[in-house]
Amino acid sequence: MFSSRRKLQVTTPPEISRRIFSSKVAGLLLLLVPLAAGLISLAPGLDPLSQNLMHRLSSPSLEHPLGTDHLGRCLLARIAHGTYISMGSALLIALCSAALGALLGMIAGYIRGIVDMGIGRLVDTTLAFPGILLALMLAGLTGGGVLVLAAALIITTWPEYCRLARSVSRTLSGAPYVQAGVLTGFTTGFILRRYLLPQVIRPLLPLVSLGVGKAILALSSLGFLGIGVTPPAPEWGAMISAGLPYLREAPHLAMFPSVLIFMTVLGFILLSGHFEKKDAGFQHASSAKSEHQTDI
Amino acid sequence: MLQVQNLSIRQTYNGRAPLVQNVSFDLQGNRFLTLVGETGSGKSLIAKALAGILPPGLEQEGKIKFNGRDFYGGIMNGAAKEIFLMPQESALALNPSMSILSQVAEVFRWPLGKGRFQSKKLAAKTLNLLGLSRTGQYPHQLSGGMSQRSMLAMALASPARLVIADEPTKGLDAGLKDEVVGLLAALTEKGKTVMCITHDFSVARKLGGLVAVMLKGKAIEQGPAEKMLSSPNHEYTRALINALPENGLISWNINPAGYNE
Amino acid sequence: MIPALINRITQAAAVILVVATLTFAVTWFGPGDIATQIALARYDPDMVTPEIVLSIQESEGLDRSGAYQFAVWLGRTATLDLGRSLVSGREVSAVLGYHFQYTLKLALTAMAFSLVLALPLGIASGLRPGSKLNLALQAVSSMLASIPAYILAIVLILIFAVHLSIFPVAGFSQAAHIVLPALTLGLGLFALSNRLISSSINMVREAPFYLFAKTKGLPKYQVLLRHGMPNAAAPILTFLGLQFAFLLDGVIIVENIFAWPGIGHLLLESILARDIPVIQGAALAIGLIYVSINAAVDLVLLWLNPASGYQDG
Repeated sequence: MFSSRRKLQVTTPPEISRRIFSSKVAGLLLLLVPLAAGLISLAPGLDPLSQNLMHRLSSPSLEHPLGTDHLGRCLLARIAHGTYISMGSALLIALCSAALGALLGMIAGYIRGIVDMGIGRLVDTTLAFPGILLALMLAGLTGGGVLVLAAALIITTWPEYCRLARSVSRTLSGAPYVQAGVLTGFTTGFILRRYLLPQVIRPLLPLVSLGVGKAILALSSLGFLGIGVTPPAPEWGAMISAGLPYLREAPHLAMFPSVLIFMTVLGFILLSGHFEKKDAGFQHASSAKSEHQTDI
Repeated sequence: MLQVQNLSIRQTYNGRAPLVQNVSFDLQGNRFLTLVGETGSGKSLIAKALAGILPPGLEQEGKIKFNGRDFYGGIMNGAAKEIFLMPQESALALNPSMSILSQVAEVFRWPLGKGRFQSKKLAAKTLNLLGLSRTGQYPHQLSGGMSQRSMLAMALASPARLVIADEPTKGLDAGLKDEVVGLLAALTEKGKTVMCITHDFSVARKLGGLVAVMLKGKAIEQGPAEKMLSSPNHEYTRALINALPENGLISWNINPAGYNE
Repeated sequence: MIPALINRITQAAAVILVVATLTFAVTWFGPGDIATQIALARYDPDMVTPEIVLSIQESEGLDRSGAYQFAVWLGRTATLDLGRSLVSGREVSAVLGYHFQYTLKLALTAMAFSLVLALPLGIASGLRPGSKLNLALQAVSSMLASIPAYILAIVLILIFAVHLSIFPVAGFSQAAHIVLPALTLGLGLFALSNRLISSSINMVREAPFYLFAKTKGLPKYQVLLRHGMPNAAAPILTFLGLQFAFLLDGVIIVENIFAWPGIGHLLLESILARDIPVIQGAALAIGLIYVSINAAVDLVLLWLNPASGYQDG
């Protein structure tokens, strides 16, 4: 008779992958770059539009830390000012569509009935419709600018948020504490705002962060094709497209905006991973409590 | 027969806190072993240790013998032909995208090695035996009692000689409870040994056989069911028995924290 | 099953109607006078006079009410008469058909590339959470996802066409021509699908019924096959709709960079040339395809997981 010790499975230490890829730190670090760029643009004397054909295509130097483009404009200035266009509008787009989606989703999930069906139909219609495509078509048919593009992107992205908000609200509206609120006599608006909204925002956050990244990609793609922003506006995608012919002699023209786009989007993706991790932890904790004690 | 000696289960990391301490039992001629205890007493963990599916982060030591042979690795190491584990939430343990017929047929097909059509026929027969005639149904269409019965069908079908039933009467009303107990008894008539885990002492009584009472990870008392019921030794056991509805309304405190093992 | 089918079909029809209406509305309410645009496209800008514009208005029925025009347009469209291109004069339906086959080839090749990579890697990674494979894959996916398609295209061109001179950049006659554009799209798709496949396999892996299947006595590969895949497939299939959206978006850029004569290329050109009938026709066609793919996916989902039909919403 001997006693045996048998480890069936070694506990995996907190997953390393989660640590890195949902790290708030890594995400924020990356986002510092575009933020810095945005701040730099406030520096006086940095003009993204002034041309100096004598110094076109010059390499990075003291005077122009990132070099100049084919028209002699300071690349640093252009990238810095482009932050508002590329990242700023992406943020706006993501926030608007999230707000719209969340609002409609909460209403649909809480009130249900015909309203729910109506919103549901609306969602099904536009769900997963390619955003760039719509933006392109709208731009083509109306000859519009950034606003048209933004509208197209918002139209194609709000359903995603709506779906999530709706399912959360639907589940919550059956929860005892919400029903208690109804019985107490709170108005629907109050319940939506105080009871549902905090719970909806939490799982929505990773989507929003991801959405900003996607919007940046979409807007820069459109800019690359020449749609939306008119020159000489310093949009990152347009700058890359402009820098392509000079890829051999002055690669920095296309490279710097590319790097910036990459870092910004990656930053938002990592941030999204972080939000998702926090949400997953919350879900796990709340569901473990509500389950009948199964294990021990 | 089942023999467990000094089974202990600990957490690998958290200061190696013991969750189950030195549990031993020996079924001898009995067909039934019932582990009774409150949540947190360690009874489910013992079942999982026997089956070899302890969750990660836990380790076990001690000896397990089944029919004279040392028993390591459990189900995951191919001992599925020897043990069948019926998990707690039967509704969750069923594959949502397969009909119950196919799921029962699987048991015939793989551990038993029968052919495809034959398995389906046998599965249909078994399900009918248990009162489930619409075998093409999917798990979400079944009631609690029905999913429990499909589970039992699989237990019947399985070649395993030890069936571990984890809370088989959970959430069922009194009539269904009786049915399930009866079906578990039917399993023993097929030559299987049944280890039942429950918090419900009345189930232990109905099953008969050996009963072990778990409190805070230790087996504080064990013995034949009738003897336990008529003359329990431990205070806690007494409290559990007296808490049964048929034993009157005198309230006894059965909070496990209030007892020493 | 049947009521669900009818439901989906009516939904699809409704969506198509909406798309058609929107397309018409946007054009009609958009800036610029249509008659003038048509005139400008047909004749030399110098030669356009108000009389010509007026005659076009009459001949094209543009002086009638909006409702009438809409009805006419709807009728024409239903019979697949999408008008003629303002630029080339060819029938829009013919133009669409010609270009669409190229896009189809490209899209399918890209999907094939991405699946070949994403399926085995995703499944393997999902079965081993926390492993090095998982880590590496997540890293690669995150980074690929952060690169816009056009930059990826440029990078691939630089590597394969310029430095290694393996694959050609432009052209569409030989099989080799499809490699670079399909690879660009495929890699982007891979970044998306990989994570999804991995996480849905992982979710299934942790589900109680998966463990139970193992304890029932089934060999491991059977567990994966019968219990793992069908349940993991559901979210993956839903994702198919998203993949399609990604492809459509990507095709626009990739086709233009590689001069691949597909719908994306056509669309951009006609937009720049303000070739309204083509744009309308393309919008309609794409809307139709989008709706049918979504409906098909829904139906397959229903077949795979009958439970989903019972859930509301």
